[in-house]
Amino acid sequence: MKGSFMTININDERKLSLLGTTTHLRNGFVYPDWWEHFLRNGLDAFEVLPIPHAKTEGWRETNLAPFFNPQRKWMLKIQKQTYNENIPKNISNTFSPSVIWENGAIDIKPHISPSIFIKSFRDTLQTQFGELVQKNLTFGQEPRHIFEAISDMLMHNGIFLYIPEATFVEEPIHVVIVSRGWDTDTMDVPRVFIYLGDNAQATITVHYIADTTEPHSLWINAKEQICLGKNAHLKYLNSIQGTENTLRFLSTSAEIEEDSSFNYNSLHLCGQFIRSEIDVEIKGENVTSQINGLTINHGHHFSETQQSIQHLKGHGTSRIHWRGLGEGRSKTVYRGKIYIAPNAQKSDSIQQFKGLSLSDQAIIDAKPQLEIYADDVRCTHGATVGPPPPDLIYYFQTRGIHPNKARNLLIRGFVNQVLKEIPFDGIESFIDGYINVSEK
Amino acid sequence: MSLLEIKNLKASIEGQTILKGINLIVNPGEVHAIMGPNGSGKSTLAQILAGNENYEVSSDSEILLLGENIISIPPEERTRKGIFIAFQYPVEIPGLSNTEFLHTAVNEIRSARGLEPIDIWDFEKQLKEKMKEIGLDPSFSERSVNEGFSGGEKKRNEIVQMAVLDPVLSILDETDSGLDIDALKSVAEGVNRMRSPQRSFIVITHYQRLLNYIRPDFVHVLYKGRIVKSGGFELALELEQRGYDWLKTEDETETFSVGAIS
Repeated sequence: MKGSFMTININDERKLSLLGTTTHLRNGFVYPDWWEHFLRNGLDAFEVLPIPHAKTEGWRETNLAPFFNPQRKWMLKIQKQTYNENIPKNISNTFSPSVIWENGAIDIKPHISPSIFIKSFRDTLQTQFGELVQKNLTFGQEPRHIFEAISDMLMHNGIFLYIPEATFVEEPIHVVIVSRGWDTDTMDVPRVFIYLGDNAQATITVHYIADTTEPHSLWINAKEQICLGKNAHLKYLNSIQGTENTLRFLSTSAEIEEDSSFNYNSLHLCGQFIRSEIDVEIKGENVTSQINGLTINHGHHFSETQQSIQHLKGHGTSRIHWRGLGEGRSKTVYRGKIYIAPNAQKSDSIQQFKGLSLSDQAIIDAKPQLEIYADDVRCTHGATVGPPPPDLIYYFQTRGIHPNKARNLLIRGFVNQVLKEIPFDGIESFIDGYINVSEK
Repeated sequence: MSLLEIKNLKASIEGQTILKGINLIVNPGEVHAIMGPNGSGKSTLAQILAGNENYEVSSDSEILLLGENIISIPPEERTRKGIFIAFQYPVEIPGLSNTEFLHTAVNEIRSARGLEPIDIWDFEKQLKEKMKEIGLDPSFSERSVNEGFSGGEKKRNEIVQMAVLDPVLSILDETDSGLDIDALKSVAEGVNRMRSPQRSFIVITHYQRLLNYIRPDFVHVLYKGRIVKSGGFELALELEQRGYDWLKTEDETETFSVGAIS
């Protein structure tokens, strides 16, 4: 297997461990100054940012011990080519990938419409869009915590997807991110940057697949950045399918300009550890933002979703509908925050979380929050969590249906409530293997 | 053989005795109305017949369905044997369509009876026909069970379910409550259409008006957990005129013998 690799040992001497690592990232490629500065900035942030712990606000429920175990050495493997293996059937049967990332190697399929631009960050530098990538990566937010710093300091490449102004892309664009573990603890740092110009419209999906080798762990530290110009319209879906020894951190930030619509959908389907952060900034007036998501957790899985919708301008509408399903001894955490800035009058925001707990040991913890500084707005939020109601199970029984089958139908009904709002054909097939419990 | 025979049914919930010894025989083809004031135990009786496990039933009680004591079998098996309850307060099942729900139910029952499963497309056609007959918009077959339905629509949907599941004994628990006259007529027509020499009904109601449309063969008055009076349709008319107070007075002064009607 050809490729380059480096090892990272995160412990108290992390400064020393990380010096020199960016050399490996280059792998013979000469980065422009701004990129070098970007990596350096990430490294600087990494060196000063504390590792969050149980008393750190926003991280109280997050057990980071599997990441920051001093005994662990993470190998960042950067492949030179993709092998297009290991794509689960529920994805390959439903979607034809347009782009595949496999441990840093990027394969862009030839069937892409000529009206859109998809290239790796490195290849984009040679084009007229190099400046666009530079501008949006370097003028973005500073890393807020150590995971974002890691994404930045190890940004050796990424996928850039550009929908030019006034371009209407009818066929969905599917990105598949395959992260493969090797015979040691392995790390992957995928990065996707999506830019829709003014009056553009597109449908994009990003699917994260993990392929690990027991007993080693795989740490996927992913970053998605989405920018919508004026009157741009994006339907977006990301799915995370984990395995027992996969640790995932996914940060998604979206900036939405006026008169645009952003339909964001997300499926978090199991895995040892998932922390997903979604930050949406409504930067113009008359924006519509819809977020739908589903978390399914089994066994000892942990999944945390942190959402923030910032209405920075008025007349915006946001809808958040997230559901969590917990079995076994899993833990599902949902934190959702709606922020309405003082001048974001006439904002209209509704946030709803529902959790279905399928065992006494499963924990579902939800906390919706509102932070409102404008006085002419409509904002509501709500969260309900509980087991399948016994009166519902009894109702099924009185129709001749065994309680276990009733439970499965209730689960499907619960999940369907959010799936019906996710506008992608075949989405049901994604969750089939995750929701059926024994009927005997 | 009687279709249903209840012998000395005593039941309690959370330590409170509700039913104090009910005896009742329902023969094939009969319609029995159970009337009584609030809190008399009517709905408890319905729930216990359906198999609700929240109630504690006395060990010397018997519920015989076609001669078999069903007291210890779970609700789903009772349904498969032909018991149906139309709920006073039907629950909502978000995300599950009427078609999917009832298709599953019908095939569970068919499987228990050794019949081949019915195809979903054929089933949906039948379901829509039944909905039309009972005055429910057939498009409701695609909607989640009872979700967003009005009170009347929920009750009609219960009758649709009854028609689809084809029971031998149907228990209607205050199906008339909250129904306007049109909905009441639709529900009654649905029931009357199903009346046959093999099929029986227990109609639980607080008021006589439903019985104008579903004419019972027998009327029983349940009071403080006992059947204190039984008679024909004229008893329902008498109750409508006199209310239940005269029975309360009689109950306090007389000891009724609880007679089974056969």
